[in-house]
Amino acid sequence: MTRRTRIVALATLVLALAGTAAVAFSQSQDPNKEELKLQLPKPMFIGTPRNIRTPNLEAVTGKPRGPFFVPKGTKLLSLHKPVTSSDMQPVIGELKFVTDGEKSGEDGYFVELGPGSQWVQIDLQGEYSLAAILVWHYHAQARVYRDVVVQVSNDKDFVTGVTTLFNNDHDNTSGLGLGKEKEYIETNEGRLVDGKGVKARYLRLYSNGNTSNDMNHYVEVEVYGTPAK
Amino acid sequence: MSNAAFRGLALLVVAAALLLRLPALGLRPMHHDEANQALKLGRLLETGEYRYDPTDHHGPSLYYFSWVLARAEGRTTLAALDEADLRLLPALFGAATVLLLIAFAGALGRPAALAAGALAAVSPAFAYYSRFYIQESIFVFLIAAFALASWRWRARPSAGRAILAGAAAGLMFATKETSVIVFAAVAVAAAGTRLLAGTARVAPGAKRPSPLRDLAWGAGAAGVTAALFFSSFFRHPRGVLDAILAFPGYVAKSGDPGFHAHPAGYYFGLLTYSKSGGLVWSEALVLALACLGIIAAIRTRESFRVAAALASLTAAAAFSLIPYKTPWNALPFYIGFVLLAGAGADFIFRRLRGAPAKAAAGILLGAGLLNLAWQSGLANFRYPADPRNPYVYAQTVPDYQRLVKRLDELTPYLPGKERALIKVVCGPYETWPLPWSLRRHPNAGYWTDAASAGFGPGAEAGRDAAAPAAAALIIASEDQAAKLGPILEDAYHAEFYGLRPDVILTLFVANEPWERFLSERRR
Repeated sequence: MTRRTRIVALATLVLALAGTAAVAFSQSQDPNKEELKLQLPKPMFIGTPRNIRTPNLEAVTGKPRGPFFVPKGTKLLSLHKPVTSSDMQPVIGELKFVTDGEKSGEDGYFVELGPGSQWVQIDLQGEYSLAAILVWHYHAQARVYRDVVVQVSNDKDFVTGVTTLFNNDHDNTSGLGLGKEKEYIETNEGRLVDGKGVKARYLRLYSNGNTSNDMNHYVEVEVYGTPAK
Repeated sequence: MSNAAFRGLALLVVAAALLLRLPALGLRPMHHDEANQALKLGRLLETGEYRYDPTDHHGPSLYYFSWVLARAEGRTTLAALDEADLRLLPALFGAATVLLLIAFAGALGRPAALAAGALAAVSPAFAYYSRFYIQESIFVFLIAAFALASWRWRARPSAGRAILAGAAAGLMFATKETSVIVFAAVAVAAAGTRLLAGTARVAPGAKRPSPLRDLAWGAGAAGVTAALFFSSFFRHPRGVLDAILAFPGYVAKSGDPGFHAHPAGYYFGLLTYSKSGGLVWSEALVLALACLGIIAAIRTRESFRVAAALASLTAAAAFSLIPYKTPWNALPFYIGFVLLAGAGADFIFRRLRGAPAKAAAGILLGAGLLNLAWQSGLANFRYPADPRNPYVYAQTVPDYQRLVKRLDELTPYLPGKERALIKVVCGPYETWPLPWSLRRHPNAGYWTDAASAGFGPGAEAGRDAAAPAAAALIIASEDQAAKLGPILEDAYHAEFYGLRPDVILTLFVANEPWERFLSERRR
């Protein structure tokens, strides 16, 4: 690496850090926002998982996720809300586990849906402005869930008014469109999806098996937001 | 039990065995052992060539039996085979084993033999490994055939029956080297039975036995049968000697098992109870009934039951004491326990007094069989490659099937299609079952490191990166992918796939075919 390359790389790094800090600072300074306080389950595996380097997989940093700011008055909306699924008769667990508030990675806390592409749907029983969605598929083992898609809508059948908030199906396997987000390794932090203030009553979360087996799991899904105005 | 009832129930039991063994044989991804054996079969099919390998891969019978079935199906090349073609053979042997157990009705009585057949039909362990392209299903069938033929010889001695038992023994030896453990267990059982139960009664009207003459016939039949297979039907006579010379290697391997080292209680722990990720498995019912069968053998001193108990316990002890263990190695002694379990079930019904008690026992036994069938269904059709399934061992994970699917999807976009150059850059541990999955790609090549594959310093790395046509696809193990990534840079799209638990493969696709494939997907 030449001296010039090193200088350019260093400058880029400094700018990136400064930019991130600036965004975080501006959000924390926004009087209408507050940090989303989360209760994370205890980690189930020690150390960082294998550092697989492919462009479509998020690099593992081993560091905790930074703060996430949401509008003041944001509340947990999903607790004990009804859940339906493409697999209504899971062999392991029950669909109500998805919103029961229990996030432990141990056996007995997750629902297992069948192989292939499957979804769960949460009915918030009212329209809300969504701030954040947290998903814990299964965090007892370092694994990657395939073709994760999060959609929201006011139509319970997801035919009209569908907004996609997250999609890492990079080759459109599920037929919901090409996703731009990266795949990621499950941890006890869960996956935080920005709700972007989209107004919706229903959430539908898709996945298509994982790197350990071809089943689909949910320990918990938390949806945060405020009543739609 | 009337003849009609016996035949009807036997038909039901065999139907259950077929139902759990034949459907969806291609569901589970190929295990690396299966893939390795499939390639040996492919060579036999395409060139007629097979040579016994004294260093590995067990005996020749699997390949020759598969050759017959493949030819019957009209398959003459490796590329023409699929997973279901291969696994059909062990599945048929698995169902035939159930039929053989029912044929023990003469020795155990009809109810006991039917119960044993039913337990084997629905046992998750037997059903699972009957759908696995390895030797075990054939081996277990031959053990049952050898036991049945030997017992029939003892009951009604004749040279013909001795030859039949000998041929079964020869085939056992030509299937797995662990047959010597079974032979040793049978010898211990024969001596023990003589002490405990005395000499078997010869059936009325039968000739007086000529043990030495019949032993000679049996040994001769065993020797000739084994020699036929090990010599590749006289094409490679050296194979007969190699079959004997292989033993020091196998003894050394059994004492230095590496990854396959497990404690003495491994087999019984596996069969009794296991729990993982919300799934619970148990074949304790079979073991509990087998214990009753052993008690029945001790109480009755009936020679066949005593012999079965002694042989099963001796074989179980021997297999358990050998540090080298794989779960399918439980089957050679577990088949004895299943036979004893049938006798145990019969013992319960004989001891119970009154119709209500017998009806209750019947309901409980039926519920137990249904539970085993349910577990078999889960093990074979819902979780056939899931690490939580206790019968899954060093199994290729389902994610690997995505890689195979991706290869199929990309092939039409590759330059030369099936004939495109594909480079596999993996160590031996990560290579299998890729040679099976790439069997229809004649220009798939295998290297153990990036440098030897042409991606090292001074090895024209840039040429490969700049000219994707040179290798449209590259499949690399995790360590080799780390070396290849910076070399291939932006010329390839990369994806990762699971191979086995904690073993990852990276697929590099040259940008041009990838973009063409993706643009087709967008439509």
